[in-house]
Amino acid sequence: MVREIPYLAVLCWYPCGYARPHKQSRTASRNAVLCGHSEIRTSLAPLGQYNCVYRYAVPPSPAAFHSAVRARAGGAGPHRPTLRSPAALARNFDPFLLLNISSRAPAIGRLEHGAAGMLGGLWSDILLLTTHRSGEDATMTHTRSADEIARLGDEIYERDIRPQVEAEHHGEYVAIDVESGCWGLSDDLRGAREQLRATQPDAADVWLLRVGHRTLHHIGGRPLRPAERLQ
Amino acid sequence: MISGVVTDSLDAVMPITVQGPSGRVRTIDAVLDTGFGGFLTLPPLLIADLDLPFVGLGNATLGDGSEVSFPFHDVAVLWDGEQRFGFADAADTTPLVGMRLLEGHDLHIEVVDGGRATIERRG
Repeated sequence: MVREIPYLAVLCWYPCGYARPHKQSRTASRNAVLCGHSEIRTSLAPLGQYNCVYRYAVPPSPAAFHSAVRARAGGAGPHRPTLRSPAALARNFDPFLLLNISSRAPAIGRLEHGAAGMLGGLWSDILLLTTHRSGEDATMTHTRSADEIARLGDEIYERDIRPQVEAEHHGEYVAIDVESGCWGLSDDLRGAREQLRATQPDAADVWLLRVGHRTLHHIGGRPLRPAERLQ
Repeated sequence: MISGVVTDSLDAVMPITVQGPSGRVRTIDAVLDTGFGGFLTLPPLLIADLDLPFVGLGNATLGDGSEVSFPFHDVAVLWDGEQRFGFADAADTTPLVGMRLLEGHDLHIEVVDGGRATIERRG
């Protein structure tokens, strides 16, 4: 029988060529039967087309997951594992392959009930292999696409934030959690992010912008001001 | 004072030591870019290696006027004997040192092949 998996716990990930497992993998997934990084690499040897490996567990419930995280000192801090819905994962990873560490049973396909179900079992240890084109994607930890975060962030800014900040906070920075609509404001980027973190510590889809500017900064050139444009 | 050299393509290159939250450090060569208004750019694989925390996405304007969104990560730079904290743009290019990191310093570059580049804290 195929069992629906409503959420997966993101334990850690292994970018291609990474020499050692993340510290996270030793602390955050203690209750999963973890094989060593060398074993993972051996397992993946025939799967050279996959260049990024994520490790997941399937908790019985969000409450059980958070309880398990709290029980592990290593789970605290900015790298604590988080829950992601299969729908969010499917948006980011396509195509991918799931591999059950214990059985080595692969299931190629989207993260739908069939593929996940055949790997099922509570707290089963699952590897998700993806075909990221470059390391850039591998470093991302947001759940929505960059375009969607930008669109939602700009919408929230225009609707809720701009009227409050545009007149008196020109040049300051804003960090917006596009999931909750919460935001932080400061005269530097770190400060804005810290303000947001104080109310939304788990915010993953964060849009950063600068009041009164089209972009945060320039790389090699800044936008022309109206007076500088040729008429 | 931090010293670097000017390459045969007239890039001013500096050794920069970056640090992740676990304390792990890497020393890399970075190009000084006075046209970059940010702090630092780093290649994604180095960001992954140092496990630099992701903080958000934001837009930057490129030299051709286009706007591109970049992931930003927390980073510490060991800079002239002190730790400086900022955000690194994840960009798959040679690391760039931007004007935010250079803020409060004097910059001198001998713009010839093999010339010397120095960065010195003001006052």
